[in-house]
Amino acid sequence: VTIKQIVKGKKTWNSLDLPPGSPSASVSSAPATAVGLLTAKSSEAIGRNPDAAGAIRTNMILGAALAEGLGILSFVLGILLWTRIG
Amino acid sequence: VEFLFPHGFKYPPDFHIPSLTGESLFHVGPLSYTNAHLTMAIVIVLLFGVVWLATRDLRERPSGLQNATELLVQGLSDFVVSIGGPSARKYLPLFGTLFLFIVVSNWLSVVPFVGQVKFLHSPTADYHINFGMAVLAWVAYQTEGFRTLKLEYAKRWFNLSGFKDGPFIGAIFILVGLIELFSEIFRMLTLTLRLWGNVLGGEIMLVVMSGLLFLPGLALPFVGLEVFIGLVQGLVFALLVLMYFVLAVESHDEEHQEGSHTDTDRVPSPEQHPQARAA
Repeated sequence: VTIKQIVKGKKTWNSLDLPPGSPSASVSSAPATAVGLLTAKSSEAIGRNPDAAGAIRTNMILGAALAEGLGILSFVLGILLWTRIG
Repeated sequence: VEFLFPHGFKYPPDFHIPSLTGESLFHVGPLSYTNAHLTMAIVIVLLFGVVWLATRDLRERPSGLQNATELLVQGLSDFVVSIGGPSARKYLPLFGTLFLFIVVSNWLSVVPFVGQVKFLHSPTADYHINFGMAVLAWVAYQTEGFRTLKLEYAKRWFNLSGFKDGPFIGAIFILVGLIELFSEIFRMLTLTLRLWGNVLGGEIMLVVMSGLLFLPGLALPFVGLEVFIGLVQGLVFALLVLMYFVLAVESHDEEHQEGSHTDTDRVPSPEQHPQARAA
């Protein structure tokens, strides 16, 4: 199976026989880094300006959720591989 | 050893992974009633029961359940006002309903037997229900945008005002508008998948962890983690919907005027926040 056959529509992604965990395994370090950076920076910001803690925390939760969304998308992709839907 | 492993020792054991969607219990014509529907009804009965008990005899000086409910509603209301200003308080019913429903559903997913027996399946671990909520919120905030800004609302997607500065700027504005239009549609998808992936992933993780660690009690820290994640995801879903509402009703033209009052409360002037002196 080559990528060319998949792009032309002759084969599906399932014929690559990827392990179902591979999308999550390869992607999940990126959102983890992003969430870590977000938390570190917003902790610093709260330390500098404790009055703005509420707004900073809200922004942090929003940003963490958006960053985590990518990891969750890879998890969904893994489930698609596992159930052989895609 | 025979008491611990009645069917013989096997590692790793056979996991009963919760199903990705609800399973059909019975059919009514072309529609099927799934176990997620049943659990959703249980959630609604639970929430209604608490509210009914709390408001059965209202007092001037609340105590007990009425006090707790008022604290919760007041907290949600203050949160909405802190995000979108006093004019956003009219979105509290939708925000609060989404938040309470999602959080209770998420917390049901870590209760034993939910997701494991045939009749119970956490509603937010079924992507149809999440997609329904996302579509509802999407339609609601688009309607609110059109109602508030009339046809000016569509200007954020089809902005021809750049052509008066030349064709190049105009083309860029059109392109930006198209990207905005696509992100508008992707909001539904990301809202759905974020919630579903988190809740279902948590359920799978609990099953796998309690299988791998032999003793059920060792998986308890992960239950705590899931309770926290359930709260955060409920907050995130409702908060994102609220943010979409706030973004939909704000006009793009007034935002960039220098010195408007909306400008000053985002960037505080140096007089209001003097620099801290070095110790």
